[in-house]
Amino acid sequence: MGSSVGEQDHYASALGSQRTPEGRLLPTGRPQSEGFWKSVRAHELALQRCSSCGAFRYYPAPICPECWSRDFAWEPVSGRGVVYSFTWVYRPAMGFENDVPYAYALVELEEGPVLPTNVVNVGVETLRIGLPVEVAYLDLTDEVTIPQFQPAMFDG
Amino acid sequence: MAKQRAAIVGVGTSEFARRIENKTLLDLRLDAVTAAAEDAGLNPREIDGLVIGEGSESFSERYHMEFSEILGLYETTLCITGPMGGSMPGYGLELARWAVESGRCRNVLVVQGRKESDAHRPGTSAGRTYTALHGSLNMHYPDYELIYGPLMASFYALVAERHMYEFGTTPEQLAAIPVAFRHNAGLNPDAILRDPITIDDVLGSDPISTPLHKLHCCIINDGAAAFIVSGEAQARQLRKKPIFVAGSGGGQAGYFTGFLARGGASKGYSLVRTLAKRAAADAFREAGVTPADVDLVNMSDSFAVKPLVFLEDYGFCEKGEGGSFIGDGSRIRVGGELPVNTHGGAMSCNHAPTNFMNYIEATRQLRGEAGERQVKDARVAVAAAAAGVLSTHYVSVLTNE
Repeated sequence: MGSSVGEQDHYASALGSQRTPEGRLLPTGRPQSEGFWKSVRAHELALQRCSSCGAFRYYPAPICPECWSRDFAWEPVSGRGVVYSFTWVYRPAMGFENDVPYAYALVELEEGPVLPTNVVNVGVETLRIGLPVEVAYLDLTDEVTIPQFQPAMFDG
Repeated sequence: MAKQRAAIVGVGTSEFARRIENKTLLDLRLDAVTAAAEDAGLNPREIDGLVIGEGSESFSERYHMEFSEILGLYETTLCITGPMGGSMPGYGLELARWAVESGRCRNVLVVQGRKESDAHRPGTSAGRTYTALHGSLNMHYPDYELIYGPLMASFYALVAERHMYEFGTTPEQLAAIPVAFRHNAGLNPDAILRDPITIDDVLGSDPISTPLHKLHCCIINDGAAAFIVSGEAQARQLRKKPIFVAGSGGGQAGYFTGFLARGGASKGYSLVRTLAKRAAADAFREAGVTPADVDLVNMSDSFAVKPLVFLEDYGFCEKGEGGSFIGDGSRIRVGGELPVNTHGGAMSCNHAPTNFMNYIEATRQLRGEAGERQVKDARVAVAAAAAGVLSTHYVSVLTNE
């Protein structure tokens, strides 16, 4: 991917994003997502829960998509879920060159929302739809942590 | 003014190639526009509506203002830049038919072009045009998707994997789709890739994002296309046989894959149950036809899983039976029971300008102009467009009667 660094850097800036030294995109911190990133940074995943109808939502947004209430609280979640779908990526995005193949997946949390993520500490022979998983945390920089998932009860 | 039927009266394209060095995006669009006007036998001064897709050398979100000036269209009663990505031809046809049916416009030009090869030209202004477009559209969500390294193919791979899980669809059935479309492309002199391929070729090609291999993915290319839509009275005075819009449907169902997977559950949507169902149902109802009446289907196929899901959603088979419906692919080839993507589709003919060829090919088929790939006695065609990882969909039922 070295030849495309210039283009990729422009891509990152067009997204309003920056990259780690390895080249991975960093979250931009969209408005009103502070509570989410703060919880992840503390390794205690929390999602918005509507104070009116009780629905959890993801991604962070200022209104409940179910009942249009603006009232919500950041509520800790179990971090447990199952794989809804997955794919092994063989042509890496920038910054993932040393991880091929890596698993990009949708994880359905016990609380309901479905999170795009990476599943780590899992092999090609083990990852399947329905696999129980739990949240793990990747500290991308000294300031930024992102949630990912691994097989439940992973004993690493 | 009494409502009148809308018809596609002219179609045109630029050349298509993986990279066209000697023409700008504007050049390509002008090639398509002039070809469409020539095809219709329409005096360009008679065009009073313009719908153009996003992306241009000038970065403008209001590019319709500049483009209409360039063409000397000094009085356009419909004029808009539609940032609809792969849905552009379907959305454009919707706007155009409403405009001519109501009498607001007489002749509406719908045009799009892309130089997708510019995505691979780091540091050039062309490359910046392309990447800035995609970045500014925030596609896909940097914070909640892109930080995990998905490719465009990965979003569709999630759909394919889920379809295999829920319905037992096999890798061979998924691979039969690009094989059938390549067969069709072999009958189309304008297709970029024409050499036959086999199921083994598809499954043996480089893995990109499982279960998708390279040959499950579309071409990246340069090119432009245009069509002109007129009311029936006007259409009957022009050069070619009018191709009528008998019915249409379409819209948007979220976008974020986490939402598509679950958020639309109350309306029956999931990663493998898409808005294509609603779009097709509305189009068939308005047209007064059923899937059994359809002679050919030209649809979005940037990744091979799309036709699998959409044939089910359109109602050509039950949900989950797409794999066995497609089988070895012979049913969906030209000469088969239900020819699909008779021009070769995005994996063999061309990708840019996304999905426009579905409408242009359907028009040519219904006129009887499709040469070696002509579907005999074609009367009813489905032309469709999709964008945003199965979230946006437009379906039109076209007829020559």
